[in-house]
Amino acid sequence: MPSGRAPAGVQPGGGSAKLPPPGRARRRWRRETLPALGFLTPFLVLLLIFQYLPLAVMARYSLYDYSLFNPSQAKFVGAQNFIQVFTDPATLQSLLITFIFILGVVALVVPISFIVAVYLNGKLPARALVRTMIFLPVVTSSVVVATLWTFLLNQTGLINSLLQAVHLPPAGFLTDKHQALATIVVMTVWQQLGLASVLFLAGLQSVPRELYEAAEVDGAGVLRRTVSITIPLISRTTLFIVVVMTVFALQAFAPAYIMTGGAPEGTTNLIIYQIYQTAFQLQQPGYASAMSIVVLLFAIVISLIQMRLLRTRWNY
Amino acid sequence: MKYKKGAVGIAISVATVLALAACSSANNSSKATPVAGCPNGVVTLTVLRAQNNSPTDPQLDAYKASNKCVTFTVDEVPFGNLASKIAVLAPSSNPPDIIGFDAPQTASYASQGFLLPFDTYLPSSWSSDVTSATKSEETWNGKVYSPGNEQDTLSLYYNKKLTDAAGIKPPTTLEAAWTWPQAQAAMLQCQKAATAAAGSTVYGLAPSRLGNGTPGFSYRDELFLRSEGDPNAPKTSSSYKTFWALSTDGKTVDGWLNTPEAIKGATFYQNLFQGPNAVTSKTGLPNALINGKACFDLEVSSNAITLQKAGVDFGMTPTPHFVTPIVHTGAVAIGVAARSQHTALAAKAVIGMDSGAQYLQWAKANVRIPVLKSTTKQMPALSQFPLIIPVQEIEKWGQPRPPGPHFSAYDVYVTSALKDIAYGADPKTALDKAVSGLDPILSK
Amino acid sequence: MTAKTGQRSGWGRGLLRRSARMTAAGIVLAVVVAVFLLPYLWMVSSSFKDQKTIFAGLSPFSWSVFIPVHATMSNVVALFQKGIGQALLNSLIVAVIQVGGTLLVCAPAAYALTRIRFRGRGVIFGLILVTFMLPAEALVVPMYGVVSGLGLQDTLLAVALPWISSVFGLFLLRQAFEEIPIELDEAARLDGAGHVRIFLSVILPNVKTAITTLCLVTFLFSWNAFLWPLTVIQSPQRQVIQVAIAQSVAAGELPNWGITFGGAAIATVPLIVLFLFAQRFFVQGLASTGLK
Repeated sequence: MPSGRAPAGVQPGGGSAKLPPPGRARRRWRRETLPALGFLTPFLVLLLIFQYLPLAVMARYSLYDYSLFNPSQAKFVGAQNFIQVFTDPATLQSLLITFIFILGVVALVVPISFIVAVYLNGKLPARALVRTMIFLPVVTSSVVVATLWTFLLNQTGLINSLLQAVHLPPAGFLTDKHQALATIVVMTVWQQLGLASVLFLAGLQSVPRELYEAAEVDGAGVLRRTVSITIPLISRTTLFIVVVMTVFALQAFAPAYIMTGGAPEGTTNLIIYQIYQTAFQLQQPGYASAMSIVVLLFAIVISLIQMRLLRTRWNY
Repeated sequence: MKYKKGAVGIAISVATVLALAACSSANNSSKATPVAGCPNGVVTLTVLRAQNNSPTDPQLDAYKASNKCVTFTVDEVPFGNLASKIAVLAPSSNPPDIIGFDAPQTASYASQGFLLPFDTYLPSSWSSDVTSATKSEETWNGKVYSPGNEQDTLSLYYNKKLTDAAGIKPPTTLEAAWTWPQAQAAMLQCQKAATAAAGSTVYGLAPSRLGNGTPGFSYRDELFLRSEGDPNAPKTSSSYKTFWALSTDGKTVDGWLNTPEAIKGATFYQNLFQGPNAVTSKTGLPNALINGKACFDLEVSSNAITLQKAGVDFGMTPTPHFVTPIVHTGAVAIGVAARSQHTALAAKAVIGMDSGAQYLQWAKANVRIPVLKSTTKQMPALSQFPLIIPVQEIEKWGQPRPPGPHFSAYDVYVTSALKDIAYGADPKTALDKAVSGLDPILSK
Repeated sequence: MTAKTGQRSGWGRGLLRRSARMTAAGIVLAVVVAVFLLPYLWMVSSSFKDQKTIFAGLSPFSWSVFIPVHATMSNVVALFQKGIGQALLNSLIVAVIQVGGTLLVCAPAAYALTRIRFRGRGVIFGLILVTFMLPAEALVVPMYGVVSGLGLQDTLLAVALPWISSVFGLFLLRQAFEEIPIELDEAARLDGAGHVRIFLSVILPNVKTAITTLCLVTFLFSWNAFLWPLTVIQSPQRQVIQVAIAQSVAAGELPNWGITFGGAAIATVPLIVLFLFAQRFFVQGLASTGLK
């Protein structure tokens, strides 16, 4: 899970307060500013120090070339770090890999979790048990998941052992450059399936039963009901899940750090790991900051698109 | 209502208490407390080290025992965090006085002005007494930055039970040492025999636990590249450059890391992991030698103690080579921060720990290979089998990993390239990629 | 269990449907258990196994991998000797600071944004919303710069502090506050209550579910955090549990799968226990992250 935040799913209901008519109401409105700030100050101060200040610092870092070791020897390089982001083959590959990773995770999670949610919404027994079990990886940290899967995927690990037991050849998984990325996609899907299923379930349960019953009376089969009623009416949920999964995949770090170090041949070099390695192991925080800014811009674009799309037509 | 307020009050005070408790960080500024017999009082020197590494508590205590005017406070971190901790503390206003750091980083720290030059503090005998590998590793730009603490290197261990059963007798002297093709043949033979006997996979060569347990760690695996080179070849030849693996001015690896000889060595290395003559696994297998799951293992000298304690019947043979025998040296060295406020005292303490009777006693007790030849002579254990092998390897074949101010970046790129090669990447492509990623950083 | 249409029923067909359903349920259950439960079983049972026995059941495969046949506590003992107890405590301290701080800071902020009409509310809301869109992991480098500028590097406080102003928490509470009818406010106001009184006696008592959810979800995020504690803390005695076990996979000493498994199990078990007891809150809390 992202550390302490989920992406925007709420309508910004704050809006801009309209001015009350002049007189007592407006005077009270102005007087309210003081207590309001009193309630808000701790939050805003922390936000300023730990969100806005790092943003400003990062913008500054990205224009310099320096080492954490010797900040006083910093050299101003202007836009060079940004140019390097778009010309350095390793960084470009990392961005591409991250993009494919996100695509893979979303493309797998959404349909599979939808089917699971339909199952959970149905009447088959043992649903509660299934829901608990698929939620276990969600509450497990990414470190434990990565560690567990490292051993599962080892040449002599559990998965290869099972493959051998059914007389299939052992697979390279994380040591094979054609399999590594797919492997961590599957691992991430495994981790997030429970959350997506539960989100879909909530969406499914908010579709009014009467719509289904009316459609059944009209002679619509299960498939037709799903296509014409369910899918359109949970479009907001679907979109929300797509965004949650996208943001989580964009922030993925443990698979690269713990399992692969970006290998083989950079096919698992997720962008956050690339930033971390550039800043702390290759000692180039200026360049890493430029990369971070590019990633932030992507994230903002995604959020803006989502906020636009969430004003969909399917409100019933 | 009162209950609510009380709850909030409790929450605030608990959070405050915890916050205060959590706020403790390790800042100790050197202080001098007046004590009889010490003209400047007892000075406290701050020490930063990696866990289980020098300067160890016994080393510090032994020095304190004969130098009552000095005492130490120690901060230690896991070895993997040492470099970043040093990077964090170096520009601060309060760097540690004494640092136990990874010797290959000497050039990097010295070039950034972090370390104190030791030339004025070293005894005159040091220069001729110290092993050449240590001297070149601890020298930067003509100055010495640490007296050196210990040396260590890789040797090829083997499980005697398995090799005897396969009819293999590895050489016991450096003169008769195996070449890599010979070693691979022996490993293959042992692998086949042992697997047949055990009914489950036994590897010829144990997967390395060095680095993070995946292939590529340059300390071991760059030897496959460098050993194809020849330091006695003409200075402009690619054979010469392959051996040194980094240009003399430290500014490029193009033509030094991706030479035809290096590619040849890398191709051989790749075939250890896959193909019909594969003798090892791409993923880790802890304690393989001890558990009889591997015949051979390239390991550091302290592994001898581990194997002895585990009761394994083992042997040691020198590290194999291609054209030129070579082993990488480099262990933890102890130095002093240039901006320390007690440079003279700290330097004296370091030299006191790394020379003379105290040094000998520590090396003997912990079975470490000293950097001073005179100390080595006084340790009978080091002239006997098995430890005589790494001692001689260090003396005759020892080379530091290519030193330079950008060693961390060098290490990252070379390790990554070797890992890709182990997993099956084309050696030439992988080495060229490392060169193109590394050269911009090196030329800064 | 009759068919909905009601016309073509008959208990024969009903029975067929019943057994088809059971089979389907059984298949689903088996698949889910195999894919989701067995890895955890493997992890926990290997924690109690000696190094040699861990590999014994793997090639060739046997069901003994899931059952600690020759169970031993040596891994657990070794872990506690290495200081995993300290790491657990550190994680707990950080979690308590983060949960407490989040509540203390986000609740009043949510109140101000929902219950106080004041000038500039929209602007402030916008400023908060902007930070919502930034992925935290990309800000780690400059955040570290800020934290060390404050002199807080290598402290547990620094591990929790940046996440206390949680926009997620703010929105969660905001949603809950908005469900409380404004009439209650006005009744209290008629009694002469000011904002603080209203906040403490009208709003807070009525959002217990949301607060519990927020506590649990914040605890989850805090306990599982990895990149930030990895960056900020260098001393081993202040390390949190997730980083401690990640570093046990890495180099430095003779690696031991049993110990690594054990560490992973210890890191996960508290949360799983918490989750099992408070499932409803977890699921609802994570699901309610803005479906409105």
